[in-house]
Amino acid sequence: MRKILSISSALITVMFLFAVEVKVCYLNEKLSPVIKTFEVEGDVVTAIFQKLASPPQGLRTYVPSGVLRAYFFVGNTMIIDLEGNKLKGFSFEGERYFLHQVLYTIFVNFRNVASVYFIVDDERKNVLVRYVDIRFSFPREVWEKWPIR
Amino acid sequence: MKKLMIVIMALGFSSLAFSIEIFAGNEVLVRTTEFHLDFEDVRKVLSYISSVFQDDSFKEGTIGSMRYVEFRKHVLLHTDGIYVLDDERILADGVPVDVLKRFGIEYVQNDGKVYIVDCEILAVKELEKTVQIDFRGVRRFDVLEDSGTLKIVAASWLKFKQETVPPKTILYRLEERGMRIAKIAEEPGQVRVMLETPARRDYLVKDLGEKVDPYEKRVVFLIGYGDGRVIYRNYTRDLKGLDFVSYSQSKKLAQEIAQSMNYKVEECPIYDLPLGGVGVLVLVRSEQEREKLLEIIEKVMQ
Repeated sequence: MRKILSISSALITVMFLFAVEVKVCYLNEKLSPVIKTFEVEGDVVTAIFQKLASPPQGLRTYVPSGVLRAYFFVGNTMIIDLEGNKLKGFSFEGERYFLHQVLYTIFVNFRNVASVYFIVDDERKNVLVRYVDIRFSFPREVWEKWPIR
Repeated sequence: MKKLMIVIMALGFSSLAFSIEIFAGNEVLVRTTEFHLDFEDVRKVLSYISSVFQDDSFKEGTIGSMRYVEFRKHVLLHTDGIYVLDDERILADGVPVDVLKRFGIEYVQNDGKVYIVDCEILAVKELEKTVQIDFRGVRRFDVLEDSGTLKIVAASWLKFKQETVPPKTILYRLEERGMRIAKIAEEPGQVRVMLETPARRDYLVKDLGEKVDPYEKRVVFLIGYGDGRVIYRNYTRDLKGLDFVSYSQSKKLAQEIAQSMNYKVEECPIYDLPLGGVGVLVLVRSEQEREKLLEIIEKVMQ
């Protein structure tokens, strides 16, 4: 456990020191994924969420600004803590596409992450907003590809 | 030299042209180099038929220098190149193939090849979930099953419904969605093909938003309005494989419906789809599509 924590903190330190190229998933008008590449500095995860919330012209996003509260890495699992009040106005479509955009972007950028958990306002919840079950982890095998075909 | 070659080739061709091969299934039972059978060839065929049809009227023996075979009340005698069939001398150097008919041997002759009919299908019966084939002789048929269709097919010439039918003739055919062979039991003169058909599954249709029992055992179809897609639950590592079966069945169902409706398929853990159960959420575009979906569900679940 100590080793994992020290590796994780080393990784985070490295992420803070250098500019890193990240891939971010947006949506076009047909709700198909469009990947854009950016160079970011500092906290990569925070930078990814900021990029997710500001789509380039002509593209859409369902990720609101300031939705990331915190994040943690435990071994090869990532835990994302979300701001509950930022999720409140989501439609059913918004709820699902928020999830797909975030997970797809995380799995594309963090090759060592095998699964992701979501918590809201520092608490385990049953649903993200109303429909999407977040009691269990989301596996890489499903979301490293776009899950809509 | 050239002349010699021609003579050798001609001899070769003539021996081929006047040779007879008698087949039992795909195996050669008798091969002659002449146009006639000899005593031993006839004896071999009669003995074979007697054995496969368990006909004990076959007898053979010698009286002095004369050999004889008796089968089905007919007798062939042979001595010093002379053949006598039922007190009638055969005026040839050997026994013509059609003498076999006198002994009640059924065969099909084609280009010097003689196919003995050593199998007779007596009946093909369907008894609940079993197809039973009663036959005499050697089993000369195959049991094939592909995508819910069972076929009993002739593997070589055989007798079926008083007729001699060629290989590949379909003797019986049964179609039923999802049907497959559970077991084939064989004993002399009988093959039983036990079939199994997945039981018609119970299902439940609800509108998205209506309460669904989280322990629902029936297949759940949730219907909502949207842009034409079928959503099913992903699996999760947390359940350590316990959801693999429901995941794969839900995925298959989603793909089947999406294909019929020309919809997209989406993988997403919808809370109202029971965990560990089979179910999908379908987002239809209109009331008309909802009606079509209900028909498709009915068809898919049969």
